[in-house]
Amino acid sequence: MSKANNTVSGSLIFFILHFSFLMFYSCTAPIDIDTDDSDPVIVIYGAITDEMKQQEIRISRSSPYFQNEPNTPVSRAIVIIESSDNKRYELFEPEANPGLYVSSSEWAVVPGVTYNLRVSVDFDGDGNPENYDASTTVAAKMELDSVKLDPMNIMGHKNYALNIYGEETPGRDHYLFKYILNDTPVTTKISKYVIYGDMGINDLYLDGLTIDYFDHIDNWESDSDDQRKHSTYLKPGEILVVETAKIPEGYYNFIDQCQKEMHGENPVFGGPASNITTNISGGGAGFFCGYCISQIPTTVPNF
Amino acid sequence: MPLTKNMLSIFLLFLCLSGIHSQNLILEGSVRDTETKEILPGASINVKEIKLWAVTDKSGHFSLTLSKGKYSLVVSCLGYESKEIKVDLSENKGIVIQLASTTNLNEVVITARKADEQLTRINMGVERMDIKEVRKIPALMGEVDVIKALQLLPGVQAASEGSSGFSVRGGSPDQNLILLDNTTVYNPSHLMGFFSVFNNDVISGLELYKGDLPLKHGGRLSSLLDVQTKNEMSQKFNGTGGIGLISSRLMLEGLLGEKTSWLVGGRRSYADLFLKLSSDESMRKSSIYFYDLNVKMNHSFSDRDKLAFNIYYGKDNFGAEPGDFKYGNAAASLTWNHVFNQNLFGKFSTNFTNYDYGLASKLEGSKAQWKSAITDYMLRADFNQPVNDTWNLNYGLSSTFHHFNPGIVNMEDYPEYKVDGTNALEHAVYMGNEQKVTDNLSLKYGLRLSVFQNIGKATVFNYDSNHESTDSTVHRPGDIYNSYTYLEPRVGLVYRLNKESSVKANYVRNVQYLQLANNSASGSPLDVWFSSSPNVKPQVVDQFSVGYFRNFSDNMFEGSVELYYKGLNNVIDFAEHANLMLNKKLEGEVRTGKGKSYGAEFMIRKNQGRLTGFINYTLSRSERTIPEINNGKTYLAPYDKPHTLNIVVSYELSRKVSMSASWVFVTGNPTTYPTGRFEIEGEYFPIYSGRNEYRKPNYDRLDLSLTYVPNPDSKKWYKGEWNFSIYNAYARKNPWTITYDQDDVTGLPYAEMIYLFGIVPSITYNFKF
Repeated sequence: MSKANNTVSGSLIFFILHFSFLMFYSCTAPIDIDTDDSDPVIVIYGAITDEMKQQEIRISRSSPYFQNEPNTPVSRAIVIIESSDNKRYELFEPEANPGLYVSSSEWAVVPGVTYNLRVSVDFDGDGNPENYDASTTVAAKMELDSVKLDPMNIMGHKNYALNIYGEETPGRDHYLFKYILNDTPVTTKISKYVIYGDMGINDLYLDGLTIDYFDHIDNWESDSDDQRKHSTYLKPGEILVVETAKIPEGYYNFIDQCQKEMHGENPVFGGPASNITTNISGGGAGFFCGYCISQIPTTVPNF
Repeated sequence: MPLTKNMLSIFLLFLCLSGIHSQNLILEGSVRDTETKEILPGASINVKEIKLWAVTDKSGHFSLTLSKGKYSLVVSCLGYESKEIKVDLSENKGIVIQLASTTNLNEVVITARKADEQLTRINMGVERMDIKEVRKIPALMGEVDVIKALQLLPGVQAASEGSSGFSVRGGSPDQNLILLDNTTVYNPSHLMGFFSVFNNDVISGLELYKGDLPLKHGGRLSSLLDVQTKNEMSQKFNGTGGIGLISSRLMLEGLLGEKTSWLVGGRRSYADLFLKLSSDESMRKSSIYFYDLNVKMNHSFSDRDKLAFNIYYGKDNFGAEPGDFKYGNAAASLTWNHVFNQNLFGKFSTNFTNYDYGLASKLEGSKAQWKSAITDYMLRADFNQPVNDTWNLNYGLSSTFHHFNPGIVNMEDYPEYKVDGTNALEHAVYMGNEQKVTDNLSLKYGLRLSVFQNIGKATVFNYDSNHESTDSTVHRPGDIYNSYTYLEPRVGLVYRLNKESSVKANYVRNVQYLQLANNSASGSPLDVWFSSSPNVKPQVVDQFSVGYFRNFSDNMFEGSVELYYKGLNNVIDFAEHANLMLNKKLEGEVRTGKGKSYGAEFMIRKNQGRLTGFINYTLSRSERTIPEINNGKTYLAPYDKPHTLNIVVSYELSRKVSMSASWVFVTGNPTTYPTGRFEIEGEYFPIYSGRNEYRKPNYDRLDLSLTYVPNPDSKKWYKGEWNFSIYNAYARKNPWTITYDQDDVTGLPYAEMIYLFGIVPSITYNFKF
């Protein structure tokens, strides 16, 4: 199930999916699909944050879906980020890491400022550079009072519900949650990101709103390989840091669509397969965004 | 409204004209089964002396306009012994004719209809199935299902494997009007679509109108599925039932006094009962079941007045420790049949229907409830006036109040979140005539005037050209703030070329004011219906069709070829990544454009003998062109399936044993495949082809069944039979959907298909007493 949720419907949809998969208990088999290959497009992805660091942008080339080689990086691009408060950052490509572009100095985004990304590169090899642009406006931090892990049994499994406490701000907001467990980031991929809209909770005090569930370490033994791949296991006494951010709606949609589309069409609760939206101009793919991060630690309680 | 006024004038004019021919004598009556007293629709009555004929209607009634004199009537019906009776007609007369069945529980009758009906009936694209025919078709898990049987007819396809949703001539499932005893059933499925809500014990048959809807019905583009429960119940107490792997069922019927008959039928699945045996406590607390109940009462006040009361109630329940999910239909109707005089019949009814679902999270800290519903209240009056032997008038009117409740969510400790409900009225007035112009040529022509009105209280959002809401308008309760009026002409002809063949042609216009907010491939119970509005225009279809019909070997074989073309306007699709659930601005996700469907349907049917069945082949195409979808380029509709071949055969080996088989071949659904990929943080995401540029693999399946009657001549108070069936007999892996994942070692993406069924054997015991 995608972790993209509109708050009021997310947990309810979970149960439908749960039951429908019981109903549609089914089998899988390999299948060969013969398709034409789409023309390659430039893929630009980067999230700049308010952490004081060398900010990064990654540029690569799309490939045929079933190609047996990894996608290739795009090198020798000119990458510049300019801000509405008249700052300019050039990013360079380290030799050891082709396709990755990092700022020469450490800097952090500022709430309320708009950042414009400009990429210039001869992508199609015709000797003339193509230009790609994207922009993002950084929202204020998401301020939470606290987070708490509450032990609970669900269908005979030991789980922890992650509940958040704090004021939700007026207006239409979108949130991103990531986790760091014992100093190790555990949400390093888009498929693991947890995102929420504020439908139904706008401008309210969040008094223990459940945003996610974790497995107790005791479940490891009984879980299947597939469950292990998709779960995060917590041990009492461990420190879980919840990283929160208020993100632009476009980036929220991008994450939501990535999570929904990466496994293809959902024949019961999804619509037709559709391309993931982007804010990269010129026919590119990917996304460029900026946001401010808050971190709140909590200790995993005994069950 | 001038249009409405003109229609009413025409309506009144026809009423006046209809009295002109009343000097002839009327012979009317009904045809019944001698033993069970069940009425027999489709029986033919031939007046030998003047070569005039009539066919009994759904209520088993017929009416003939004759001059004074003596006549010989030959009454016949498939599966019954023909009978000749003498009538001396000196005044208007009513008679009851009884026919003796030629068969028993295992009768080989496929359908009780006139032998050459397909040659003479003016309607095109009409498919009829008698419940006896449906029961012979091998069924998934032994659950005899009228909708699954329907999906074997030409031009009809399952929305997806095992689904109760169906597509007619390339249309989407929400373009089908599904009626149970003239009451709309919004979601005809149990168990997430695997079974339909129609209990075969209480159903007498079904009719599917593929576009050429009877004038009294409308509101859908593609079809009308008219499912009828038993028309008239047995005159003595009896029952039928069955015990299957999924569910068991029981139907009882009988008399209350001399003038009131009753019927009660119910089913319940019981997979959840086995969960109670689980060692896992949480599984013991789980439930997965459905049930439904049909209740029917008929009361005859006199030969002229009859009252019928029907109720359907069904529910699906999926419950477990974290939450539960329920959905179901409720439908009820009260119908008064009145004979005004010998050539004017009236039917007045009030109908109620409701479809709702509810989800509940019971987890501590996340308790929440979500409810959604659609409710209709309908009043209608329908009149049939056989003016003489060449004119048969039909006219009437109806009015429906729709209430849509898209969704209310209550979360513990948070305010209620509600997508405001909306209301609408849908009215129709119609008049039509079936006219026998010559012995060989018959016409039907009629007009339906439909009016749709949105009623406050409502908040209507206004949208700019990018479908972004700009502002909103609030309408007070009771305000009619938007109306649509459409004329829907429906005309047709049949020309009898000779005794064995005829040609037909027709044109119909249908208008659809309600649609489903669902764009998934298989459909789901989370149905949200929404109506036309200032932002959403009604969908309109113009359908043209021609056909050639031929019977062979004294009507033992029926053959037909039908060609059709449908042009659609304002056809609805949804924006890419549309948010269709709990969305207050749902109309902002709607995209409209044009569509077209065309095709040819070939059918050969054998109705008589020990070997019966049919073979049909459909060649078709269905496309849509919507500016904001697929960059404005025309794309295949989701249910475009160019080639469909169905073969259904039943063979009676002996009076104890009969066998059936069905084989289905369908071109794979149009689909959108990834043609490219991009990578972010080690994960691959698809870049898709244009909308529906590819197809899933073709679908084919063989089903088999065998029915064994241990003692067909039993004199005991009950009779029983065993049914053994195998679904997907050669274990074809038909893809239900195709998913993508990444290899654990290489990290590269690959595709795999999910298929729902291998071989599914089942056994059912049916009984009758």
